[in-house]
Amino acid sequence: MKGMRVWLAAIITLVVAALMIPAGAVGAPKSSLVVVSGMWSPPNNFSPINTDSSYGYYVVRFIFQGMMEARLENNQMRFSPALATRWEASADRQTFRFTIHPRATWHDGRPVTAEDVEFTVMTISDPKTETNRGAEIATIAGLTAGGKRVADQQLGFRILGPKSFEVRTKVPVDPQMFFERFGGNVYILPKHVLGSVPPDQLARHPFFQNPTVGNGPFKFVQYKTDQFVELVVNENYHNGAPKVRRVFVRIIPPTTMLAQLERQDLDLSAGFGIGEILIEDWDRVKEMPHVRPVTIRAPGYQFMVFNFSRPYLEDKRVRRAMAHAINRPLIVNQLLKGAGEIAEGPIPPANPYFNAAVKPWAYDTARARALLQEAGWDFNRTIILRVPTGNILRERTGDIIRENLVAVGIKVEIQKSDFPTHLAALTGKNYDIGLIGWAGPTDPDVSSQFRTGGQYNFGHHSIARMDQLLDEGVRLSDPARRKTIYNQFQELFADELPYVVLYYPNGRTVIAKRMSGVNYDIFGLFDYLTYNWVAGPQ
Amino acid sequence: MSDLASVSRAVDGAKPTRPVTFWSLATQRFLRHRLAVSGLLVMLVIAGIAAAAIWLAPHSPTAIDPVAFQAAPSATHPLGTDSVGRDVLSRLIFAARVSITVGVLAVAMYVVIGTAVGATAGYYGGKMDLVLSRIMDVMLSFPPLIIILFAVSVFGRPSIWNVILVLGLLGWPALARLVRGQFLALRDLEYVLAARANGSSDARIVLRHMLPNALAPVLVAATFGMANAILVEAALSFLGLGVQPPTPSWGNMLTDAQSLTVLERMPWLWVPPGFMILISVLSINFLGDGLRDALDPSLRL
Repeated sequence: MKGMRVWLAAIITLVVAALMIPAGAVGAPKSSLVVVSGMWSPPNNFSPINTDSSYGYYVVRFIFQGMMEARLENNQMRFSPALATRWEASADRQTFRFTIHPRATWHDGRPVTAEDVEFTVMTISDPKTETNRGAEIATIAGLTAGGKRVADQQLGFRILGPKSFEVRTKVPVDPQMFFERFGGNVYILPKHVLGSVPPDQLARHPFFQNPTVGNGPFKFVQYKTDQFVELVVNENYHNGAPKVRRVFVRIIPPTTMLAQLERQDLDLSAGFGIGEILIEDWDRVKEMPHVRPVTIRAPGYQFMVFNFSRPYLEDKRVRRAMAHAINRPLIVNQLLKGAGEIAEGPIPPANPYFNAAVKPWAYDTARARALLQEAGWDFNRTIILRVPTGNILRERTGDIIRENLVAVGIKVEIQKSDFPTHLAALTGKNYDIGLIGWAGPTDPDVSSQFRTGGQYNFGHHSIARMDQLLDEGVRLSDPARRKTIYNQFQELFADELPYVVLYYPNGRTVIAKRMSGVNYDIFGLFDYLTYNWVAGPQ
Repeated sequence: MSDLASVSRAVDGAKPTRPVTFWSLATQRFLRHRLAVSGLLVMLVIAGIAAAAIWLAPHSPTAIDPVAFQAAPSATHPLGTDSVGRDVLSRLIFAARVSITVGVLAVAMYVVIGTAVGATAGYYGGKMDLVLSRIMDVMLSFPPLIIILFAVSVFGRPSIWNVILVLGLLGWPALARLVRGQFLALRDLEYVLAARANGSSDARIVLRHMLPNALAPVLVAATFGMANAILVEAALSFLGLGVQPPTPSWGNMLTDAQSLTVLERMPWLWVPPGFMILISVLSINFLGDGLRDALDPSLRL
């Protein structure tokens, strides 16, 4: 009898202890109130204007919002309210008015005001501030192409009332582009917290490791380094309190995503490029009864860039020969298992500005050889193909490209390196051909990659006609006339080939069937209108 | 000296006519060690396969089969194909070359360096020994894999030759210590003193009289070193810092097997290279065990 009582006591203690373990932090999500999202790598900070990568912005957008949230539906941009309730463009397409939601408040109870927006624009445009949001505000009057203030120029920003303001651009612009970039990608900073911090010290401010004063549907609780970020519901969220009480964003390497899904420890992946399912695991995910696989017709692409400072790559016939030589249909059909598209240009097939009349150069080894002969290619020359590690599919693409180029007589050596080293080699002109990827906003302006001296002009090319078209595209505000310009740009691109665009991969993401109200935004990420998320019982 | 006396006495009765040397005795003992002999045979077979790779492989190791990506074993591809449609068997065969080359060359390199340094330190002693020993201590205190990762990336383009060079330049201190110990023990033996009294030069004493007697442990260490070199090469190639694609190596073949699905459902992608690494390292270790037993002067018949 006594022995039994001891056992009973022990069991009761264990059960009570088990109940006291907080749900969600370990093991399977226990209730409809907790949701676990998974992404591949950890962010290095949570600055709404300077986090290092898409990983950081994925978390930031739960906590901080811009004026609107943007999503592409049936080739049409759709904007949903975030901090703003109203946004309108003037008839001359140069002045834009925003009204902030009357009940929009910071997580400490202070109202979100036009002054906070002004503070954010002033901070980003301060030459001393470290930020990667410059390009998003660069169209505003008084700013340079990099989005920085010029000493004696008037900034195109005016406060109209505590909750309303007006932005003026340098020249008339396409409102769609302005709303996407300024409205969708500029997240507002709390002036009452950061207003007294000197701009040059902002990047290292402890607030960005512990952003407790946000304005979004979720509040920051804690970040366990390299493990998870914990977020809790903002009951006072002005667009309606989220139904999900707690969100954990867990750091899960690509290779273990599947195991986590199988154990029901994961409700959704983060989205395109930062939390996806490996291609080998895709069929397994489709077989799982409790999850819904989601394919995203993605905005991004992988490409092979040519170093234009190498004289032997200057002849466009050489570049076209390589486009003919690379078996892109094989890459898409076999390596991507058909889940991707081929297009000869940097504007995605799913984009309204895509020029369907430009067809990709066909896989044609005879044509490739003929072009190389014609261009006088030195068949004894060995060129270096630089491949960054990390993206397994891209690494495999490198092996296929080498085989394809060798088959037409081009000697190629592969050189692999980690991503930062790879990027340094590309910007330092220390390569012949290199692989890399890109995912950009929906707006077709690609000046930063293809204009002479652009920040991301990895090929270091300078094509006068291309510069002309790109400048024209930014200057015009009428979408129809812009389309004509970008159609011409895509024709010119296919002719000059500063890149061979290899493929546009579809995103392979996943959502637990118990979740509803989940959508992805224009970047293919699932942190879109998160206050609509609903989680059913496990 | 007592060792030599006992050896001659033990063999005296058996075969009085044939001169019995230390090495012939060691061979006899080695041949009696079954695991060691099978290890040697397996290594010879692998070396043979590596040498005859061009004739043995059914396909080119880099050729892509456009209709078979990650295909299961079949008549055309006996061990299936990898993630970009290359024949696994052919890659496995060609990869043997990489492992054998790295193992042999890296070890040869550090055996030469280690023996030279160890012999110098042990023979001269004094300040020379002090300086060389401290250098060995410093080198031994570095975490080896980190140094290798660093060196491979600093040398610029990662390649099989870089791996060999790094392993060769970093592997010697342990071996040098061993040789130094041997030389310290041998230095004061009578036959060395006799050679010195004869007026032999230092080089002659070291090379003719001392080195042959210090060689046995070096041989054993070199064997184990080879197994280690093969493992390190596999690890570096797995990390993408060793042999560069599309050249196959057992290590970089394993990079394909990083997802649960591949591990569970496509064993042909990772079992063959994994098995080859296992079997080659195991055989070399058996070989080393056999050599150690055969060459151990304290182990008698």
